[in-house]
Amino acid sequence: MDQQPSSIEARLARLSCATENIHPRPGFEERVLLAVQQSAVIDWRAGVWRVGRYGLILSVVAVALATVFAVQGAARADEMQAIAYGTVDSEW
Amino acid sequence: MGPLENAALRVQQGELEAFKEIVQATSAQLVRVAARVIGDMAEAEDVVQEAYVSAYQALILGQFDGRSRLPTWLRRIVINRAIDALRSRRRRPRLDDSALDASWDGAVSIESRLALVELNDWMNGLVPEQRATLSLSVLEGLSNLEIADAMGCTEGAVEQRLVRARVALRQRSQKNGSAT
Repeated sequence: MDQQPSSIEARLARLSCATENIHPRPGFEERVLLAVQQSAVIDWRAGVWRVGRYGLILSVVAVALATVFAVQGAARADEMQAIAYGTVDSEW
Repeated sequence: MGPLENAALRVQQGELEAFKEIVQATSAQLVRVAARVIGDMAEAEDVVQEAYVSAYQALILGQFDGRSRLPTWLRRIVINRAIDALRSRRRRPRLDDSALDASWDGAVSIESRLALVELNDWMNGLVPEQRATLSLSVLEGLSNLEIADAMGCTEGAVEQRLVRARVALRQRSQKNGSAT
């Protein structure tokens, strides 16, 4: 059967009428609100995780910097002690 | 400001009850739009539910600027989600059929569900954008400007999609006719 443009429009019009009374099942609104509430909880947890992750990265950086400063400080202290001993030696 | 835009403002202030008002006022229309685009009731409900969740998050983040009416904004989200669903369906075809699902008995008539099955079979194979455009134009009665606004394209692109969709349907019908 050859379907002409007019018959395509007629079929579309018929399907439009037949699907006019479509609506969600009873309880759909409650399910939506539950999903919205759950997404809010998940968002809150995701936020904590995100903040925690950044906190962890910052902590690692802080520990690394502290280690570098500590090593540098120890080296400087050793150097100062060596100079002090040298000074004492020459004075003595 | 309309009552729904007012409700949106209250949602932004953290009032979940106001979102319930929005859902109650818009869900029937949005599920019908999604069902006509997708051709499946259960999938349409899923799409609209996901759209509501992302709309709620957008409202909380203050991303609804009020330039368009709230129902228009929600419809835009649903249409984009529906097109995404059609695209993923092309990759992974659905095997189940909600037309005969007993959970719809008493909610939507069997005639409507069978009409959706027919619509889905007929439009199956159209490019998702063409299919959505044709559904919105002919079944929902939206203007080309409204469709262009909802789909983020020009009116010219809408016209082109409508022409191509009709040509594809005609070719399919002729092919089916000559095959039988």
